[in-house]
Amino acid sequence: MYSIEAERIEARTCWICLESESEDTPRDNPEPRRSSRVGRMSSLSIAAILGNSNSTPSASPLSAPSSRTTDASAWVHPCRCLGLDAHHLCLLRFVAERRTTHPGDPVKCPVCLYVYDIDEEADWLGAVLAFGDRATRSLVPYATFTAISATVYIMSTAYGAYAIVATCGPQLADSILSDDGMWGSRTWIGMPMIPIALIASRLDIADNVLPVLPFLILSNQQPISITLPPSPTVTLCFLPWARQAIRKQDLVVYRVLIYFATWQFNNNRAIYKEIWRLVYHFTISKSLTAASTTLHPNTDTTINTAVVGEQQPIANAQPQGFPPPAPPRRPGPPSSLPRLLMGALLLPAIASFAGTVLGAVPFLRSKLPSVFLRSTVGAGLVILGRDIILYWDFVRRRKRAMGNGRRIRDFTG
Amino acid sequence: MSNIFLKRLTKELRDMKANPPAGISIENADDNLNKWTVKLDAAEGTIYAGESFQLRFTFGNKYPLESPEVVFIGKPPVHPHIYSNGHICLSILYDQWSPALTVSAVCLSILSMLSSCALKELPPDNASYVLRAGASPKNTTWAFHDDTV
Repeated sequence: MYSIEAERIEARTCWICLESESEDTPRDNPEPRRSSRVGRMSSLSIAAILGNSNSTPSASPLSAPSSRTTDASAWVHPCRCLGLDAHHLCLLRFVAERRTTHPGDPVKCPVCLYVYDIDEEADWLGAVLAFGDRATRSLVPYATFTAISATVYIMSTAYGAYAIVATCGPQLADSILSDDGMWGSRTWIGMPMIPIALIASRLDIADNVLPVLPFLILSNQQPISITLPPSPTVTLCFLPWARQAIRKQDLVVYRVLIYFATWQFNNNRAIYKEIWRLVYHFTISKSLTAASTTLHPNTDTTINTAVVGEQQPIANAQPQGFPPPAPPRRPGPPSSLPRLLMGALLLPAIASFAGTVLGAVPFLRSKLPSVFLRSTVGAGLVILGRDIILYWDFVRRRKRAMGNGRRIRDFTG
Repeated sequence: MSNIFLKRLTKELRDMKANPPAGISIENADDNLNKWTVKLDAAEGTIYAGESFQLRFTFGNKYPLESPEVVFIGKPPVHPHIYSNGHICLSILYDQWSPALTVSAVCLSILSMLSSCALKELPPDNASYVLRAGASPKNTTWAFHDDTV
């Protein structure tokens, strides 16, 4: 029986061009082909008789490191894989191909992953280029990150300058920005922080930091003096506290303002009591607390109809066996990133516009003499107004969702 | 360069015609040897028993240093690693190729991939892949993650 194993050991086959030792060498004309294995067998036996297989390895030029050029018929066995011999030329092409497709990587045997021991001229230029290539590749993420950060930093700084000009007016902005060429930490850190602080002020991530932030930033100034109307410094220090008060009190201020607007209090004494509670105790009455807990669907409380304007408790409003409809989203932090960014970054423009509108009224202009103050008050009013409208709408939609304020008429025709 | 290409493919063609592996037969190979059509007969006792498929090998002139492009033509088998446009998700056809592999080794790998499959189903991302894939699967960046089928 024909033994493949025997042939492998007797006649080496180049694993790249698949030619065996007994056949033509790579340099020879590839045309003449013996078409059957029998033919190869016979040639093999001839080769064995002639003793070719024994003489070739010692003649391999690889054993002589002095000459790197080689004749085409030479064979190499570059790794420990049994039977993975190759023509020297074929393997050189494989190495050349790997060098172009995987520059800098060592060339390995595809089967045993042994790194070929290649004796080659030291390719200094190639090594330098490969090193540069690898260094560039590994530096790309850092360079990209640095470039993006620098871009964001510069844009933030420019935006900070714009925000200062928009809210403070040209004169104050000029005195802030042109610091006689002495640009300190306030310029390098403070200005780029402006857009970040604006965005943070719309979320609750910085709630614990914002109230003390102005003091930290402004601490290098003279003792803060309280005047009336307040100076920009005092206003800035006061703003986070006002924001916190409004947010932490669960929209109490809006609610009270809505009650004013909708006249849903039964008598004036209730209003005064409520305001007193708010100002003095910084809290709200039980009926208002109950109203606020109904905003959360899990709690079931009966609602003070006089205060919230609900006609029925929630439980009674639901038909039996139906899950309650999802309550409408209450006004709160922005629902998406673009809205968050737009809302935060448009604030200086809105403040500037509102300040201009306030400044057009002579009475307000005399009470609020500086541009910054008018912008701040204007922006506060705009935000307050917007939130009141949103909250009002929310209360209405919530009533609708609970089946109140909407009724389907019977067919009468 | 094409010297190796011609020698190697002539030799592979001769060997495969002389003693073809079970289930694999060369249907056609054009004169300059760079396009072959190979017929695969699925092994008995597998879910594809009785079916036969056609593979098209396209050899670039860097073959065998560079992998051949291998796709199913005609109706490809329904298999979790074979897309309905004939592209095959098999690592040795792309970044795991080495010149030590041959046409018959590739065919045997694909046959064994078919044999070890227990359920005829398309790849989960078939629709989106077929929509965006180019003509050649070698232009796709493949992610090989499943060695079980």
